[in-house]
Amino acid sequence: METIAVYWESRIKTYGFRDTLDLSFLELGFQSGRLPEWGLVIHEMGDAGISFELVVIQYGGEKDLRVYLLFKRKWEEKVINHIFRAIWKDEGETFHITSPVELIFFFGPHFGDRYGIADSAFRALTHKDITIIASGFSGSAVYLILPEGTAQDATALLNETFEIP
Amino acid sequence: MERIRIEGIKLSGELAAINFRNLPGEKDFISRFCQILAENQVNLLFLSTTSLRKNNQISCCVAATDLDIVKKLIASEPVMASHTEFILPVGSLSIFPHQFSLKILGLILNIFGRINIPLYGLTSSLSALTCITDYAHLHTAVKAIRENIDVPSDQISLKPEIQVKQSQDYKNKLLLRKTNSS
Repeated sequence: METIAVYWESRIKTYGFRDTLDLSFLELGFQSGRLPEWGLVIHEMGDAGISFELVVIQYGGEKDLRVYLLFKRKWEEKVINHIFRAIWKDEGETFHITSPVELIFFFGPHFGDRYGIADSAFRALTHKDITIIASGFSGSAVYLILPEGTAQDATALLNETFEIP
Repeated sequence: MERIRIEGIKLSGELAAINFRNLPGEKDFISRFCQILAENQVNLLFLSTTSLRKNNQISCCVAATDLDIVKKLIASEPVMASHTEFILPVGSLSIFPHQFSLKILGLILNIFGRINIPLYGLTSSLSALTCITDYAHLHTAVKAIRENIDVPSDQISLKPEIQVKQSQDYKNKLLLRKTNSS
């Protein structure tokens, strides 16, 4: 059976924007072979009561796996302590924290199945020189990580591009 | 380690992964890439970008059927083309709900690492953790996850049940029909 859905919108509809301020963005780089150990370290962070706002992993080959974790800034010290106990700096493992950062989250109908959603989001912000530190588009969800003090302006710009019915 | 329970696992069909590594930061390659795909009606089924310390990385997936056109589009952008890596066939494995839990995330990473299957990308959404790996390894990953995490057996979708594709052709036909009838 074929189901045809047509989205015919002069402005793309979304269910609204949610911003979260005062966050920290961790970048952790290691070789793929260390994934089991780093998995346990991240699990231990969960045992310590830390949760994530967003996670992104990017693959740069066997020798370069990057894990990016976005979490509440109040947990930054705890996270750093966990990383320090586990990191093999002599083996080239790296970590970097960008803080504070802000997050905009929004989602819409079948965003994951439609072309042009990422283009519209990037176009809205980069044309006004708002830096996007990182982004994640998966399923119907869009996450944009922005520098401190820019989420409000960014939301206003996204409101011009996307429509909240 | 305590036994964790999740509600389900969903697998995709065959996809092509495209990674751009170390794109120079002085030009907005991320926007450009999204633009050329949108202009050619190619959907990004999965996308993550990072721009840190003047270094841009893009990790994304398109339907395997879109690969040829994507290759042509990237080839027309020489700087981008020189930083591109194609991996295929890949597939996505979505685990839900993640509950924003680092315990679930850590366990999933530990499992992927222990069974030694590649993790080409991962992004969280509102409820799911979507992992990208070799298409041929999806069922191995599901088996390993089920050995370590409780998943109701009727909540494992091993094949996509429906495929949704936005079609400009159909939209144009509707527009034509509407124009003729008015």
